[in-house]
Amino acid sequence: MSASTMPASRSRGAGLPFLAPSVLVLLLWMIVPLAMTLWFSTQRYNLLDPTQTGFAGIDNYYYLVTDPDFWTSLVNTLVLVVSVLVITVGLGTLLAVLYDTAFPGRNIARLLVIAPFFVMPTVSALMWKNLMMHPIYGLFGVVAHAFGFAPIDWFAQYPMAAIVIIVSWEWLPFAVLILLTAVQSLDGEQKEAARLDGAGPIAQFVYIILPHMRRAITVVIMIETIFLLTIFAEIFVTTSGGPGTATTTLAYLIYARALLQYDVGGASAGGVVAIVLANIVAIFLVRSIARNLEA
Amino acid sequence: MATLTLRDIRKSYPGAAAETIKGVSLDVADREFVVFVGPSGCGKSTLLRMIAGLEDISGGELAIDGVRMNETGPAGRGLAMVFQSYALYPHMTVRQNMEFALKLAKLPVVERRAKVEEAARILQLTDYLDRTPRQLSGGQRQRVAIGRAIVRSPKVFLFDEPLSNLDAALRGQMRLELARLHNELAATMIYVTHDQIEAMTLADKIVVLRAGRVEQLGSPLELYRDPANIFVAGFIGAPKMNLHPGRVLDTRPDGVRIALDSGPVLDVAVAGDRLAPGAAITFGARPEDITVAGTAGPDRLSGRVVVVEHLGGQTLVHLETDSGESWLVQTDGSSTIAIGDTVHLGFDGTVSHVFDGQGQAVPRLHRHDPSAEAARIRAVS
Repeated sequence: MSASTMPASRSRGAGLPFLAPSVLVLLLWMIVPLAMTLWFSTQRYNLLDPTQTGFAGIDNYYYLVTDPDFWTSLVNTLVLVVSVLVITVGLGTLLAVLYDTAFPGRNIARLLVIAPFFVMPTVSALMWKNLMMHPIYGLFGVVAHAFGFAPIDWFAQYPMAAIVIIVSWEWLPFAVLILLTAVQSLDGEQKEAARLDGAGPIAQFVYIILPHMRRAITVVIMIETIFLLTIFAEIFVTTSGGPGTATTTLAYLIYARALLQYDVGGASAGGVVAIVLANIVAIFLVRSIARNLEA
Repeated sequence: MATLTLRDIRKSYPGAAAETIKGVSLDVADREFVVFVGPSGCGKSTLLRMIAGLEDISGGELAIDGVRMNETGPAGRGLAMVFQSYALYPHMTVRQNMEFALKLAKLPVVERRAKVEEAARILQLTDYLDRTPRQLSGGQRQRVAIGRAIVRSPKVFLFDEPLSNLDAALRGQMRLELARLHNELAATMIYVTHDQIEAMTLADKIVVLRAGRVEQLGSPLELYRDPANIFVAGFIGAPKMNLHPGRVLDTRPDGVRIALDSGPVLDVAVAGDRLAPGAAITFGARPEDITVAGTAGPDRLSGRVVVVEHLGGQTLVHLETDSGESWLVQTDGSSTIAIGDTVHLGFDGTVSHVFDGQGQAVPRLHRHDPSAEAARIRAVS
């Protein structure tokens, strides 16, 4: 070892005692629930029937994957996550570019576009359910009436679309916030150079602005995906996973198994699947981010 | 062929009381290298951006090859611009950067490739075509930015302080390359800088700007020899001209006798018909036009040496007079003058300047003229 690396390695060792408490808390926070979930997923464990005990092997997993609701919930999760991502990133990019241009009242408009992010999920879901999408009292219904259309009962007729709209409304501000800072960090001279090169607004967007925003878009997709996989409150408040299983996502399915059917073992098996799923997504996204950061 | 005509060009921003550009008129001939120079905030970059089409023209007319261009967009004017920050597209390779404009113009691939390769050859970038800008050094990035301009075969090249992000050594080298390029491309170029050395070395014609007005316009040596006013006299030339107050004693057909506030009485060969005895004036003498004399005298200025800068080939001596004025003299490199010495300065009335109370130059009787200049150089050597 050369002399120059000595102090660095020694100081790294010296830092350990100071790091230990937070590392310990993190480990407990993560490892204990994980271990318990794994353990419960192999147990016969139903809160309604204390006599039913013992090792179940992979039975809980078997029942899970043979349950058609499970596959429906996976598809629903996928539909929800992908639709919301497409809407928030697509609209977010456009809004970010729009809000980057100067117009009167821009600061107030920016504040308004960020505002939904500060409303808690249960509240915004209730707002959408009763003030906007309710067929009788809701704004949409009123507007439909005014134009002579029959109002839409959103949560009965298009439950998934309704959830997607609510969640998109909540997450659009986040996307705009991140993407707006990315747009603002673009060197103005690059846009001017492109103008001199003969690039119109669309060519500038495609060739200059969009490539510049690529990294920020990846960040938005990663962070949103991780949060969207666990969307629960909006579904619980509005549709309770229904009608039928139309809006039952994996997170909601786990809740239903554990706290509606009191099947802790089955719910834990679902939880393990959710962990695996989230990790697969995380691996891909972290890798793509790392590649982007290197470039 | 590309000529550029500016007629009373004005720029005002909404809400701002004063105009940024207050009526600039200028003719740029084909293949001319014009440099806009001035202190920061003088409007030189704004003027360039108005020519490029990046800023609207509030008043006046801009014509390229005789065609009015005020309402034409930046892409339609047939100009190319090199930015201070280079403004390369970071996610594109050097090749993609250079062919971007051609791609947007929907040029065939073969033609694009030929143009990019030709530009790369001229700029010695052939080996770097597939790298991205971040893999290049500052000088190479600068060359890519120039290459991006060259491939479009523009009517006029515009440069906005292109060398100010480079270190001193590279700046000197790129300056030579720009001069070579101007020759090789035989192109019309407009160049903005705050560096008067770049202006002096590159320009066919210098436009000195201050606060949105043209202070003077002319060849580098014209501006150097016959500055129109105190501002140009102080701005052009390094080291700076000595400018100090004085009074007119007497006017005669062959010049003016003046007394500097610091003492010496001098005869300067300027036209005296605009000056009355007793008028306050500013006397100007370039450091290289002042000689260090052996003895004191009524036409000599005495001062104490404060700083001596040995540049090798020449020595810059800073003095302070008893009245508190600072003077700068350039002597030869073997000078033995030391700090604390008292020296006596002698002036040459035929190359000195006098500015009237409004700061305007009083016409010299020995105007700059190239043949006389050559004769003077022969006489010295």
